[in-house]
Amino acid sequence: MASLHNVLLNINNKAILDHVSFDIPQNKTTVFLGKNGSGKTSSLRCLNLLQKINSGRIESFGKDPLPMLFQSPVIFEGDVLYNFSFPQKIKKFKSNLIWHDAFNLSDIHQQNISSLSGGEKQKLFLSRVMSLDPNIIIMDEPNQNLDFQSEVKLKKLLFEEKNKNKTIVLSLHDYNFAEEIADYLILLDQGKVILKEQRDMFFKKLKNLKKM
Amino acid sequence: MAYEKILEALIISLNVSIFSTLISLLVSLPLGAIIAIKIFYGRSILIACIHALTSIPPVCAGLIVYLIISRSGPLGWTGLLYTPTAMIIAQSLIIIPIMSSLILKNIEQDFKNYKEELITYGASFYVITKLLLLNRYGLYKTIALIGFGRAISEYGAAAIVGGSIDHVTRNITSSIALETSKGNLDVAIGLGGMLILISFTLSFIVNRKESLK
Repeated sequence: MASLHNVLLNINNKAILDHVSFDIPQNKTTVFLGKNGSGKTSSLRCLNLLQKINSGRIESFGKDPLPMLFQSPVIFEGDVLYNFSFPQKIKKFKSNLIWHDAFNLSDIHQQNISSLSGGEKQKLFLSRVMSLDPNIIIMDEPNQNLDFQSEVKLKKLLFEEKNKNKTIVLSLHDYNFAEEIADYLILLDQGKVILKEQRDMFFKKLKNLKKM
Repeated sequence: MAYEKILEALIISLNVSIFSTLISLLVSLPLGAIIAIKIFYGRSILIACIHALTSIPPVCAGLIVYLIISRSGPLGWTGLLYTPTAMIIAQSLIIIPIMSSLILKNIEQDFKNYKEELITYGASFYVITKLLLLNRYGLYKTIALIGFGRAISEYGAAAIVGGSIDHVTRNITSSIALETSKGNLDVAIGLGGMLILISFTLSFIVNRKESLK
């Protein structure tokens, strides 16, 4: 189980994470919710050992950072195939083409990356990280720029991964999507944890919070 | 006669400028990339120096090279003074900072944006440098054109270390100066027209590349 214990992260004298603590349950799907700038991305970066903190303690998934879906992933000049396959040139990962095939990436292999729409790029980035067949899936806003059909496909694929008992950590804005997929949810606001609960309890408490 | 002089000056200019551009690119690529990626003591001072050297006056670059390779200089024994090689060195001194700073700026930005993701794939410093350098392949043509344009059109440095020796180091710019002072305006105008044509063509290619991005 990964966790953050009383983590303080200050950037330019602003508390991005203000003494935040939470656990990420193993083999479950955890979703971070919150407005822009609430600390979702920073939480993922801390969990994945990509962010130095001012104080507190991090227990990560391993010793080194794991491949994850970033909000602004790497785009190299060239075609889709090069952008999809370059991680395999860095290190030999076990290759998994399920997401690649589901998003029909073969059809656009030869296209230059600059000619792709935001949604097509997102499908490439999702397929790229999932082609490495990670046991722990970390995704920062995986549904950004996706159209309705692609989002349905993304949900289906994520559910397939969830059914394999993988640990999944997502940051989302879409509460409906979160309710569908999450086992455990963490709501952040201005760098603080507002609510962290199992799914059913989370949404009950969220309703009460909104009433207040 | 005029035609032969123009052709000879053009060949000397092209030879010297192409070599200095290639050498500068070979030096600037690793230099710019390493400074962009590696954190080391004195890095910010080095970056400030490179940026400052982009505006080095060509005559000063020529003077520095002259002091080094003149007979009484530390490399006087090489006998490079008043040779095309000396002109190549002086021109390289002018364009290496320009190329390095452009490469540095671009790779530094890419490194900032992509470092974390590349690290998660297990990329080493060497692999990150290689990937980021290869990624900007298209840019290097533009940078080479900018460097070449600067090299072929400069006068001061090449004149100081080249000495404007007939058939050896008399390039287009020194020929223009010489022919104008001798009153051979037809040759000077022909050479000037050629230099303007080269500069405009390069500028057009560079701007077209930029606008296509």
